[in-house]
Amino acid sequence: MNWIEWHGRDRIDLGTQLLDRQITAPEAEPVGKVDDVELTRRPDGALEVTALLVGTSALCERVPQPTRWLLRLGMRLTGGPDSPRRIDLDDVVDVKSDVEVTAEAGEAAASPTERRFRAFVERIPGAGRAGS
Amino acid sequence: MKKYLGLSLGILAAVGGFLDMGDIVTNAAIGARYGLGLAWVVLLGVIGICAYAEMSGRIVAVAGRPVYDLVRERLGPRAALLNLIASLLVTILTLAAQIGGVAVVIELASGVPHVVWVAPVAIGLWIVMWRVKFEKIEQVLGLAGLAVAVFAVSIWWLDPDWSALAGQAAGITPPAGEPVPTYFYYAITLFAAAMTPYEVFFLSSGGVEERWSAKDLRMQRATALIGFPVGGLLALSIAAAAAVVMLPLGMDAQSLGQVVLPVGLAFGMAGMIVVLFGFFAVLVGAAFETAMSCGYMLSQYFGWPWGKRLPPKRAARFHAVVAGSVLIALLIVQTGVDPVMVTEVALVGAAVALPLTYLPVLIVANDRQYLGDHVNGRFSNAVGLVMMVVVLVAAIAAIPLMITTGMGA
Repeated sequence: MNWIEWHGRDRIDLGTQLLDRQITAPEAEPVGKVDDVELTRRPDGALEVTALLVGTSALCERVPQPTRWLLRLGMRLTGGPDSPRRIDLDDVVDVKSDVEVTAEAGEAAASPTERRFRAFVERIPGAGRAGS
Repeated sequence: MKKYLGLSLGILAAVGGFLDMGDIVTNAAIGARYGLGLAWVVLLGVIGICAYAEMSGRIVAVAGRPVYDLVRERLGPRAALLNLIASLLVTILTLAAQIGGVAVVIELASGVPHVVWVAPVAIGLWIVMWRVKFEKIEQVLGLAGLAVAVFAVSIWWLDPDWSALAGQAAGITPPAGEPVPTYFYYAITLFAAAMTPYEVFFLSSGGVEERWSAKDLRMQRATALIGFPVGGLLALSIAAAAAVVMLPLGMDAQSLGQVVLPVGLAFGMAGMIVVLFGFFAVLVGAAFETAMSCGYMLSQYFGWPWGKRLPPKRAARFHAVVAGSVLIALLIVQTGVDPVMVTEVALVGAAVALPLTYLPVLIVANDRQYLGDHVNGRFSNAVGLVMMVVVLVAAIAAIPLMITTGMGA
């Protein structure tokens, strides 16, 4: 397989190889998308990617009106908006066709909206049975 | 042995996945009006869906990525969001058309108006989706849907003028006296029915649900390349039956009640029972696929947990979207609007949305980062590119033709 390796590469195109990729964690359900990245200015003046940002409120900044308005409406209707979750770059394990992060980071970045929906869906009989 | 069983079950699912309300309605309508004069469009549509189903199946088997992941990664969040909104609207309308179709089938069997059946059908559909295993739904409905083959048997039984049928099928221009724009309007709806976007959303997500891997590649390819053409043949047999029975009488086939007439003529009540049973299975199957597709595309755009392979409560938003789509579709059909009309609007919408769905598939199928050595060969790319041009032409022409022809009136 010729996956692009994250480690040992001196160049990576953030736009096509990081942004909007699926984030996964081992032994867990999908975490979210790389909705945005956090850039920090280093003392030498260069910009450094320090974290992945996950969540519709991060995505909002990247889409124009009126779709942004639509996303905001969606967030409000589902009990949000919640601030974006941050995954430190040190917690990124590998970048393939998806972005793999550590189990703890995946857990910490779990969506509050999913949690709210879960509380409701859980009450339907059969919600807890194993998948097929 | 187990392998062949798996293959035949997969083919069944693909046959069922091809046929839906759109294929039934358009094939019968064009059969009654043009005979087999638009058979070339069905052929074109089958080639297109085979090519793109094979590509997206390969992407799932090798890279594990369903189509809507690719749409966002390759089009970026803006264009993908517009595509998402359009595809979601079209797929919900398509779902409404299937639910309406099931209700009409029950009306034809019971004599009680279809609006009475809409809510029970929608609720029953949701319960099946919530409770029954993915593969079981696909296989049972796929097998039952084969009853639609009664159209082919009816044609043979009615023993039509075969050379006249062959003559119609050989033409690729409108019959004398038929306006050209209307002919091409029907061609586009027929093409959109064959290549409806939800088919690749569903197929690729289903591949993830069924845990395809690189070792399933040949099986997955065989499934698509046999299943869709067989589905296309069944669709053509509906057109041919209408061509044999309605065309000579100058009759329309604008409702499901008219679509089943040729079978009734050939085999009477027994034929009607078989064809209604087949339509019921095919339409419930398509309703399942469209409703799940609504959940798949939204979940994959936003990166949520999704699918029936997870315990339902762990994919809470996915199940909420699926249930919500069924509810909206129910409300649309419950207004009493003609399901055939809903089908036609959905098909025109599908034609417009097609390029933004299939382009990312073609791009990623050429990307070694995803597929390694399994990238498209020259043949796949040639077919893919030609079909992309056809898809673009259909997308651009769809709305102007709909307006100028008054929906093919």
